[in-house]
Amino acid sequence: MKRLTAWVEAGLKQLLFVLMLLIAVSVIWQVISRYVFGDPATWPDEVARFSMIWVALLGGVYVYAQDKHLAVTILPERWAGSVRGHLLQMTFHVLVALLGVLAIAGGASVATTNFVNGQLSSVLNINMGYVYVAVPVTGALLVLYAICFIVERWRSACALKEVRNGY
Amino acid sequence: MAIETWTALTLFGIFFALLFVGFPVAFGVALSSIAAMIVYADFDTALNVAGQGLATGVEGTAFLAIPLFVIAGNIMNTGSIAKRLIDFTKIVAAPLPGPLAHCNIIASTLFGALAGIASAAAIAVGGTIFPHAKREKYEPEFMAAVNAAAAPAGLLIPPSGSLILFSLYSGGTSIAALFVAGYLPGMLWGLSCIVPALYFTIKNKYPREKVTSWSYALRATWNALPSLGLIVILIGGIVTGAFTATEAAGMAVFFSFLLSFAYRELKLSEIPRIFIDSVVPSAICLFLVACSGIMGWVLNYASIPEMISQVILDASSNKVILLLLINLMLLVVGTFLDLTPALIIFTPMLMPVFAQLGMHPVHVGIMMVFNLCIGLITPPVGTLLFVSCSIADIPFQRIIPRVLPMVFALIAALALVTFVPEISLFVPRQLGLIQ
Repeated sequence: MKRLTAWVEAGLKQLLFVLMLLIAVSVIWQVISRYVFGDPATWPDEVARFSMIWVALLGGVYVYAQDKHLAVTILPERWAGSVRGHLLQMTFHVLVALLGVLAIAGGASVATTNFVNGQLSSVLNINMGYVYVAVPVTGALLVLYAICFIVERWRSACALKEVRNGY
Repeated sequence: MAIETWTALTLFGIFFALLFVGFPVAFGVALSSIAAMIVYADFDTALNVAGQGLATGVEGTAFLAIPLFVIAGNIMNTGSIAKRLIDFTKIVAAPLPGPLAHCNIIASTLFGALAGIASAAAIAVGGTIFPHAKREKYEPEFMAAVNAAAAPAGLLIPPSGSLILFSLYSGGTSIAALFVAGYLPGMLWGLSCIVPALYFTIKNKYPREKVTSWSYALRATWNALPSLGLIVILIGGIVTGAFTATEAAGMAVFFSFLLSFAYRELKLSEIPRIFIDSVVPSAICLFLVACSGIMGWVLNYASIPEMISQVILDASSNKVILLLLINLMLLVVGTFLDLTPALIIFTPMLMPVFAQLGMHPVHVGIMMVFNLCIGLITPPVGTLLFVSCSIADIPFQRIIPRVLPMVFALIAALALVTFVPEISLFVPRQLGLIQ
């Protein structure tokens, strides 16, 4: 499990780097092609926008994996290192797993509808299903990390309890 | 009760409950919106809205400016752009007592005019100026407070990621108008930091420096000229309509690369690191935007903003009292919630109220950003206070007494911005961007 998540995180990092680079290069090229070559390119807008949807969603997973999402951390910090602190965090991860499942279900239906209808983007003629499929993929990755975190918190909580009972 | 009321209660009940126990804001927005959608319609519709909302929430070219500003800010942080700006500000600040503190404030404001995100300014300027201030025996708590308090000025002075978010969530307020509208309030922000800082440095008898020589002034200006020129290109481009805000952000990336290469401060091999460092701050914001996509559907379906507007307007018919109450509420929200989520969540909800009160959307945008920026430096959870303390290497509690005078000055300034619309509207009106 640990090795799988580490591997996924490394993969995400590479992929996100490429997507960020694509965003920057497309937008810069859009301006340069218009002002320097006087012939505005049409592809950059869609490339940048579709890359951004993937960055937003997969990036959300990456941030979750590193526990860097914005939160009001007053209560978790007060309870940090205690059994109930671990149980609180465990509940959070259960809720994230729930959200992941909802995203898989909802995203899959939206993506399939687009694949079946053959909805194409206006410039690049990409099937929009390839854009929307980011949602179920994100859901699946959220579930994967959530399970990993739940197990981790459960073990820490149990270990703490044992130490207490030992006294 | 009507179904819309139940929907709104589910949305807010779950959202605030999750928020205060410490659940990540983005996930809380998504879950509470899905729950509200189940109440309003049924489970299948809610699933569909969740799938649709997550993907379409970040649709739109204007959001691209956000990751691009983060990248540009990171590039500028690696090089000497901050140092050049600080040297430049010494020309003005040298005759004041404790010039480094005032340099910090003015340089943060200028850096904000390049970077568009507040933490970039706090890190770049603070990181450069603190070692210097330590050698000259400035109190580190005071310097950390000054650095934190001055950084949000950059979110009012264009280009500004926050004003772009406001433009998108308020239903398309002109970005060019918002940008130029931010100049005077941004300077007012800087002034609200300088006045308490000046009082402190005079009271504690900080030494002045010699007035800078002409040759120093010329050299410092020459060194800062490329960076200052970049500001003119970017904002000039946006105001005249030559660039969109997104294209300007792209150009900020491009030119800051060129500058860093020209100054020989950036190696090609560092580019992957800069982009990877930019992923987390960009994704924090963009994922929130994606999740708020679901909320957008719910708000629309159940006409929640109109409902809130009705409730608030029923509470009082006095515009002054309402504005005071709304500002007070936003100040409290901003204390707990970071600027970005607060802006994304509350802008669409409050716009109908402001429209009813007859306020110009540009004025509303500046007021909201100004207000929520104060939250970034209000104890106990101000983001910028943490950033600044970690650079200055001091414990968090010790910055609080030093930053409070500036927070009070800024709240007074907020009252001015709220009740004197001309502070926000004068410049865009002069440039013909609004009527």
